[in-house]
Amino acid sequence: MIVEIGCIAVGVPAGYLLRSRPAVVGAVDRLTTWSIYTLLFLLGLSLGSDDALVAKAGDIGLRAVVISMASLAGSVAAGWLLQHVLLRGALDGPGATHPASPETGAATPPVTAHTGDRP
Amino acid sequence: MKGSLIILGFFLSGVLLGRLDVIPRADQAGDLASWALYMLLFVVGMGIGFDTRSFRILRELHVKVALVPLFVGIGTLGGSLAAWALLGDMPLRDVLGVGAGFGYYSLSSIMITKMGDAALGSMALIANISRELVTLLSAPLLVRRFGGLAPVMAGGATSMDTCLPIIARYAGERYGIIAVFSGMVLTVAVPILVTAIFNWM
Repeated sequence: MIVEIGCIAVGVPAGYLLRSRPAVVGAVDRLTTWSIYTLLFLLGLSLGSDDALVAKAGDIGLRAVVISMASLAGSVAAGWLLQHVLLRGALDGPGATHPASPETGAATPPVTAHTGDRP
Repeated sequence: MKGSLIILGFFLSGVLLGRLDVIPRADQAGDLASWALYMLLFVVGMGIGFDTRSFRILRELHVKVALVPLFVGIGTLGGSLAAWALLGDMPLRDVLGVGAGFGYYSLSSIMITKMGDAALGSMALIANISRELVTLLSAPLLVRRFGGLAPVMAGGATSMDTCLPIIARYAGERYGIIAVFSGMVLTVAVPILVTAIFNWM
């Protein structure tokens, strides 16, 4: 799927160059949101119009929940290993900390306002 | 949260309209879907380019923070393998593909629909939405039981936006910064991993 990766690969430098233009950022946000709405509506449509798939909806949902809960539990377990066994608390220990700086504010929601690419 | 519900609303109204059979030739929507996907991938790429926080974070924090998204990947892989063994009758490729969404349900379900089929795409949508919802609901518990890194791991790609406020609140601002970094790396990784899984497995 060269085309798919290519679309992203072309988008990243374009976004980087245009990152300080609010009009572009706003337009990209709206385009992202509406292409997701459109595509998920179409996905629903192809699911709903297929009787065999509708009959399997319960099965699909159950499998989805099994996969997601197993992935979540696996990730939490891997995180526990990383924090308590490999790094021994280095992520929250004073050795790895940095003083509160203006950067810390960057992690709070207002700055994520333009990350509409992941609604 | 509100965004997830709106998206779910679009999906469910699609299901309903497909069920009612009111849209003629709904099965020919494939072309529109392809172009909408290319457009989506391009604007997702632009969104990534807009955001230069991750480089700054990597510079500011200890380089060990780069292990966080890697371990989310390892843990998700391990969990997906367990789910594959438990379910018994699904191709490994399909299970890994659904898991590799890391909670980024919109893009992963759309890509999987295109490379797999609508059933698998719908599974990816439900699986990744539930990963996000469970992270949001269980973040305080995860912090208490497993430490501040746990909700960052659980949230996967959603740690940088939807799950960020709750992570920062219950695990602290420091883990909020780690969450932004890990979420951004995983957000970039989703389309690459999903494409790789469906093409090379």
